[in-house]
Amino acid sequence: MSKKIKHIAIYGKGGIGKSTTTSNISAALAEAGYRVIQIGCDPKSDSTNTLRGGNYLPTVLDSLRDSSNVKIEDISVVGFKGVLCIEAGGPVPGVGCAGRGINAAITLLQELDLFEKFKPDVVLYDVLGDVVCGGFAVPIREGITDKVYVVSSSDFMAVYAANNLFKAISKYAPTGGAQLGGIIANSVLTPYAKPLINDFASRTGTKVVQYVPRSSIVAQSELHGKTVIEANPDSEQADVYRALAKYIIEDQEAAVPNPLSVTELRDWAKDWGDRILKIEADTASDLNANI
Amino acid sequence: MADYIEFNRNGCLLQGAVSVLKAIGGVVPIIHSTAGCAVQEKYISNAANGYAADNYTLACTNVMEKQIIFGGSARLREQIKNTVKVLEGELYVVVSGCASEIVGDDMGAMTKEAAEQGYPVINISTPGFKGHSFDAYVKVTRGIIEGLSKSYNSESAVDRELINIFGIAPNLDPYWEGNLEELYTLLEEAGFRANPLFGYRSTVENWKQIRNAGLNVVFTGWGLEIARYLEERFGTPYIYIDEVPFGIEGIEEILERLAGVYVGKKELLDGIRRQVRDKYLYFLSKLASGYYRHHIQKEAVLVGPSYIAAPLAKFLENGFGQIIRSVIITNNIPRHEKEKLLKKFENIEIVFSEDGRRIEDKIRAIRPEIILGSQLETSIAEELDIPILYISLPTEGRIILNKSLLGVSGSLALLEAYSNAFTK
Repeated sequence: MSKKIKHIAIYGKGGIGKSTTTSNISAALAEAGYRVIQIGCDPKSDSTNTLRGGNYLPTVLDSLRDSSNVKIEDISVVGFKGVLCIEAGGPVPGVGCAGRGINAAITLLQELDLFEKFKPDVVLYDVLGDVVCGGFAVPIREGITDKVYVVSSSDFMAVYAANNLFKAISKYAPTGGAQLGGIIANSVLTPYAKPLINDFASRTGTKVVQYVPRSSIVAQSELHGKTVIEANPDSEQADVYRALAKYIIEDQEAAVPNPLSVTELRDWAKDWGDRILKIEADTASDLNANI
Repeated sequence: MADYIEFNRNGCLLQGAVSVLKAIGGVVPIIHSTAGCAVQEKYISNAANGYAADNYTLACTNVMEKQIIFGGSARLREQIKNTVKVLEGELYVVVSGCASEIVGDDMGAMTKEAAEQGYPVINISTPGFKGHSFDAYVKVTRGIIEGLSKSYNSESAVDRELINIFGIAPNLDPYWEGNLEELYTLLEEAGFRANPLFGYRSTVENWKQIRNAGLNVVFTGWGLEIARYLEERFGTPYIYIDEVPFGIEGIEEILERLAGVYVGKKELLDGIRRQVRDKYLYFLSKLASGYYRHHIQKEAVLVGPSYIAAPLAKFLENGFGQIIRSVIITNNIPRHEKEKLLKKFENIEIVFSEDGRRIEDKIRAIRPEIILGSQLETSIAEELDIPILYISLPTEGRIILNKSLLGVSGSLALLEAYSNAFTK
């Protein structure tokens, strides 16, 4: 009997750290002995950069444009600890339809029997998370991924994007689409970040599965073209990613989120707008009291 | 619950646009869409129109998934480059289909590039999802005028005797060409120069001369929209008659309105009006004995788009004493136009339906003595064993060259055919 492959999508607002987080999860899983495929579903095609040490990787769509006979070898490269890296790719900005591109790329990977041939334990889809059209929702539709995690910081726009994604999940879930695994809170730095994300999670019927602190280790590793797991394996940050990877591979829970309406989200944001300064002041006075 | 439609007879904006463009001499449409858009237009609309333009070659970019993902501008550039080599034309008009519009291809940049290389190419945005085939008339007409004025900057030299006609939509009405001819002849009899924009004698040069006309004579809401645009743009005055002028009253109204504008020609125009009426009544009187002998006061149902079926019903009722049981409007018109029609035809039942099956059911329930409709109503006419006259598309298999339903000869031809349906 063939083993059950875990297909997991990771969404989030542009620039929030999806690719960094996904690549570190991939690296941590590979380090723990899992067979991993990471598929970048972003026209920028830079999802797997830190996994493959800068090795050239033609995107699925570039290959599809140039040849009608695309093979898995043409569009994949083996990166850190055997992670198979794939980039869907897309048109140059301003032309064509990137959403259709994601759709076509995923269809091609299925047609090429990628999963049957590579036999991965887990496939991670790193998806541009603003869900601007149906194409970017393809990975959460029936039969592609089982579970979605959303990367969010405590910035309102990131939370807004997460809420939008929840809308897409709640739309597709009843017809067999993916469910939500939870929120990965990224760049947690300020005192109010944790309570803010926690509150958003509880209001939308989900939970925070890991808090990833903001760390210059991440920036340093990326500047070296590597994941934290590879560049700074003994760092605390690497352990955070390892714990996150372990959670994701073992996690059995999933739910359909209850996204906030536009007005609910606005009121919720306003309320937090009033609270964050107070939280900071309280934290500062606590610190002073301890001096 | 969602409803279904059987035997729909209406196409989309792109289909309508190509139908309209095909009617202009010297114009070559280039379809930027998937291949099916061109195939459907070429075969289905030709079949619907009696294969009147079966030898027409359509250029199409035949876009595939590659052009959807990466954009189809380069494919369009290539298609324009090759089309100007193999299809002779004075103006190439790129019209866009749904896929290319959703993807956002920059068609303007491609046509501009071709124009800079000296090719007369313009583009009009016509994705099927933006409207129905009947919306294409205004879209294409405005599109060509705007496109030409970008590259054609000659001084205007208004010729008061030159008249444009707008509102008779080519290939969306089986008798459009004969109807236009009838109107041109009328204008020319009165000493004006008609500016043929569609069909016989139409040229791209005539389109360039639109701005130089002294007057626009326009029918229907479409014509009005174009007239208002031209008035604002070039200051051209217009006379607007809200219906296609079937029957002698329609022609008289045109002549009267022309006399209002061209005061110096009043005497001439009044003379023509009297002559036209005289001629019409002379021949109509020849029909009188047959009319009574064969009891040609019949119960009729009309089926067709609003701008044909509604005014024709009025003509048959007021001008020929027929009993109109129902007018079934088959084009998708906005609510305010529906309300306007219902108000205008207070005493006649007006039904709106695009569904061939429901239209059949309606006719079956009424059991009229004659149907004026399309080929899609032939089976119900056979079932009820009643005659049918074609007034709307499709008219597959029927050869229609320059037959008209307008003016003296058009009106008489219609009444002849109507009467002969009962004289067998």
